[in-house]
Amino acid sequence: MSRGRFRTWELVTVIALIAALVVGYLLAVVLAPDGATFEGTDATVGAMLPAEPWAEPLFSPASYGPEVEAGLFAIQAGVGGVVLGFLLGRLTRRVPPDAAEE
Amino acid sequence: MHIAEGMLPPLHCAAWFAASAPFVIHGAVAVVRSSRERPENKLLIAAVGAFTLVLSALKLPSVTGSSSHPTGTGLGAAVFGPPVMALIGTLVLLFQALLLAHGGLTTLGANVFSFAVAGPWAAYGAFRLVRALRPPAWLPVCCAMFVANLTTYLVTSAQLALAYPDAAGGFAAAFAKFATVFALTQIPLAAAEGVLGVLVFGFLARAARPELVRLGLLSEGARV
Repeated sequence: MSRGRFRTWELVTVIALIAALVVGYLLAVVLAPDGATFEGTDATVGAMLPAEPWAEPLFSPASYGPEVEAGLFAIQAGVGGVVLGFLLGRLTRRVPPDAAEE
Repeated sequence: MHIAEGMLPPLHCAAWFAASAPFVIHGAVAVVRSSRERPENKLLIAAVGAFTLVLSALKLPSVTGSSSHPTGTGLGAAVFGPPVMALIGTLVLLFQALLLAHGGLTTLGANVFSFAVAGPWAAYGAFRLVRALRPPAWLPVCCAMFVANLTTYLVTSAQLALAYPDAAGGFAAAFAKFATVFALTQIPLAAAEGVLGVLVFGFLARAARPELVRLGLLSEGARV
């Protein structure tokens, strides 16, 4: 199994890609029109619909305030991140079959 | 792409449930079969599921002054095929509908169809198409992520246009109206998602190389 170390150009590429993502994120904030609220497109399109909802959510975190809703989203990302990190860690630490046989 | 609770007419809700259900059932069978035949795949299936959960929870700003979120379904579609993502995507949407009021139970069928069926299938098609051209291993994954994201939002636009056609221009005008709102925000995010997919695939190529080789995504000596 090939699990060699990163080559220099590979490391540079990974760092450049991560930097590009961070710069892109910052540029989006900086270049946005003045007074931009960064409202979600789902909500924007929802407001364009010529109808009222005929059903309500069973649980609506927004009714407890925007902080609660944002917090729940953050928890979802956090839970997913922890699980993803754990799984990637498990994958990385596995003993290669050829090494186990030796 | 999350159509909110109660925002589609009941008939449309039922139709999208009926359209999505076979894909989700097929996906459940595919996950069980893959896990039984290759127990070592379980970790990787869970990892692509967690990746989708994380990405679909991230609200990212765009240069248009609005925000949206990536989908993350393209990676799993490329690695395991679209059926697996039908189940994983459904579980993610169910979680968001019940706990975050993002999407809804009545619109779950429509959201599943755009997020967990159309996006992954389009991603898989793009992945296979680009891969047939024999580019570097990272490029098909990048294209799959990009296409999954955009397709999801285009299908959502079509679903809304079907439910609420424009009084003058009908379906086409309504589709253009909704797709324009989504596309301006989504194209930069889809590109960013493609880059992120390359990074994660590069990591998996090291951590889960045996699985990726067995799945035919990598050759033994290939570097990503």
